Amino acid sequence: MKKLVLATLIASLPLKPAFAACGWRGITATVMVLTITSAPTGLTMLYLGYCRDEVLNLQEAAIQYKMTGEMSELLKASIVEAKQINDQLTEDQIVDKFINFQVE
Amino acid sequence: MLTAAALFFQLLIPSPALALNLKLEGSHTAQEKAVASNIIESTQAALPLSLKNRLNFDLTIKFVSSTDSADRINLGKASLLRDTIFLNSKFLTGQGASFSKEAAQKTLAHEIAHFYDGKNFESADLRALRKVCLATKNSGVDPVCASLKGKGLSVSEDPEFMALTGWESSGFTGKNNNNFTRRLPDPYAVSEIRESFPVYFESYTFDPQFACKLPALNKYFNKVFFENKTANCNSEMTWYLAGSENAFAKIDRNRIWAIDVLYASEGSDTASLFGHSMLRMVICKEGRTPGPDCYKDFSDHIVLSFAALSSTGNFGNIAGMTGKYPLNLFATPFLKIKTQYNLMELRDLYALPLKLNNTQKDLLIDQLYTLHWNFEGRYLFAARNCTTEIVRALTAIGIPLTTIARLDGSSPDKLLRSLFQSPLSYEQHKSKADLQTNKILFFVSSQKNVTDALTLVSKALDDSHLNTIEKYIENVDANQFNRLLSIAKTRPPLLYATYYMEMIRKARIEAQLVSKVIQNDESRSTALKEFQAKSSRLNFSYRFIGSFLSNKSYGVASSEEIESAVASYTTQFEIDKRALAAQMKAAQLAQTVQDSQLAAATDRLNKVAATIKESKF
Repeated sequence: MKKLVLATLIASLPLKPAFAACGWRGITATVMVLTITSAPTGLTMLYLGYCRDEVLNLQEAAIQYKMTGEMSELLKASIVEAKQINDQLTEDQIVDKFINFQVE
Repeated sequence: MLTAAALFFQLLIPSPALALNLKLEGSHTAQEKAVASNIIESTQAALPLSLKNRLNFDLTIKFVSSTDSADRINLGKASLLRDTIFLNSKFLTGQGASFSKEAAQKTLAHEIAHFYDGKNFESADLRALRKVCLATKNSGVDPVCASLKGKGLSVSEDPEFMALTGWESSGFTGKNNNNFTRRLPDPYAVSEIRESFPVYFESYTFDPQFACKLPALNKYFNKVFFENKTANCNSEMTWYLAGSENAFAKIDRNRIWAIDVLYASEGSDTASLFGHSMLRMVICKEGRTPGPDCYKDFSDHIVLSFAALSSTGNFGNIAGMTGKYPLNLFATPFLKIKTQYNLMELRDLYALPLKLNNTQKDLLIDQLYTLHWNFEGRYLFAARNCTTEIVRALTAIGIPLTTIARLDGSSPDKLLRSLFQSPLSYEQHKSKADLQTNKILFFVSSQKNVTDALTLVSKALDDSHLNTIEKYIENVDANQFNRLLSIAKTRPPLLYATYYMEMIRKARIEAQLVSKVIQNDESRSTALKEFQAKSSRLNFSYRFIGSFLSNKSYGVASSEEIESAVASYTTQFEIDKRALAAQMKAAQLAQTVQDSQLAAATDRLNKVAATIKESKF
């Protein structure tokens, strides 16, 4: 059951147009995630877009940071990269973007 | 003109003292003699010096009448008892590719290799291994020790060579198996173990591209024969990332900084009770000078996993124990693996950097790349699985066999533990606890986030029963939620914990709705099942990129061969992808589900998001 929750959690991520290229499709993705087994290949994954894993892992890392103050190396490295793209953003703003792209 | 019957000719090929002498024997015409001499001289010149010195005796070469059949068995034969090699006399005519000079040279080298093999030379490493195996009475040291039982061949039964070429020694039956059968120099290499080394040796001796086609095996032969054969090989590697949008990752091998054993902790279903072993290539992002900082380039890392796949998506225990599923070496982006294990299966990931010297690291990369494109074995629950194949890969790269013998490949967890005890791990990485303190080597499951969030929420609401997601959804009603939000306004960790829990709550409601919609709609339910079945079949058919390669050559494919395979794959895949998309559309799986409960859950989540936005912490 936990697996299902996490899988659907993944699918319900709201994404801003900036990430439209990731090909996220809301409820479609939910259904598709439900079809995915633990097989190492997954044609169905294609429809979820190739930014999916970056987005999901960053979101988890960002929430962990905000709840506990523990910053993972993945988050740290991503903040550095994000700042290289937009040096106007503060660290907190970047982390918020990773958590929920509706929070700006 | 001399007749063949009138001649009895013996030719001594000049060679250094105390070295192999090849003598031609038999009745031949002058022209035949010239051809025979040329074959023998050119072959001997191509042989490694150390081989000739170790085979310090006279070897008679006889050309004899045989059938016109070009079957390997009819080309040549080595009589170890009579120190004689019999070659098909058709070689003296040079007619047809099967009996060309090149074929004759390879056949002669092949038969000479049988003599070298038959002498059962053993390296110092093997002698040391024998002592370890005897001392430990094989406790936890199979299958490497098992391969020493009854060893009678110098190379073919050397554990390192066996690992390189996919041979498996069965300690019980004494029979060796090999299912590394694709893209070989000659299928005869896997007909029986004693033919394996001679076949590969032919190509090592005469194919100038051997170092590029089978780089790890080339380096092994260089070590055995004190040679330094190299070739100018392409440093760009193409890894097939099955199931990824960008299915082909082109990586310059010089960007691979390190290789880790990646261990996924045990899962809840039967298939993952023992965990899973994988390998992670720590690849530096483009532009970064290779070094320890490459460990931070998570998006570039690629995970290699020996895994089985079924065409239905389901696995049967008996089928798994009887070799019904193919075994391949899959490549997957690290972050996708992290999603699968940490987020979806709630399993921890431990990365243990392998302490390898540069040569061993290069050999491991070479061997894994060769396997990725060419290996299609049969998965066997206990004998050939994710862990045994990693041990086999490590056996193939020149690590002292006494170290290999102490690795326990009987389960992923045992392999990790034995690696902690071995010289293959660094001093600072000798336990799971050591790894857990390292943020680039330990990736905790999302269960920790759930637990942390629930702890914060239950304390805020003073409700110690809120210790599971189910209880949160059941007990945190609209009133409790408003109370929670009001407390969380001034407590950032609690606010984010609330956001996290509300995200999970909304996701679960959404999932339940989708399930309900599908269950209540027979046509959709049927369509979904058909879609799933089709997806599984396609997953299966696209699991192995090597199936798009021709078998005209062997080993690592050339750039041209890879381009051709990628083109074939892409053409076919686009057709199947469109068909699958059409099937999904027909099933109306993309239709948005509308529901008041879901709307309320979305509203709650938005409220938390708005509070985060408004808060100035």
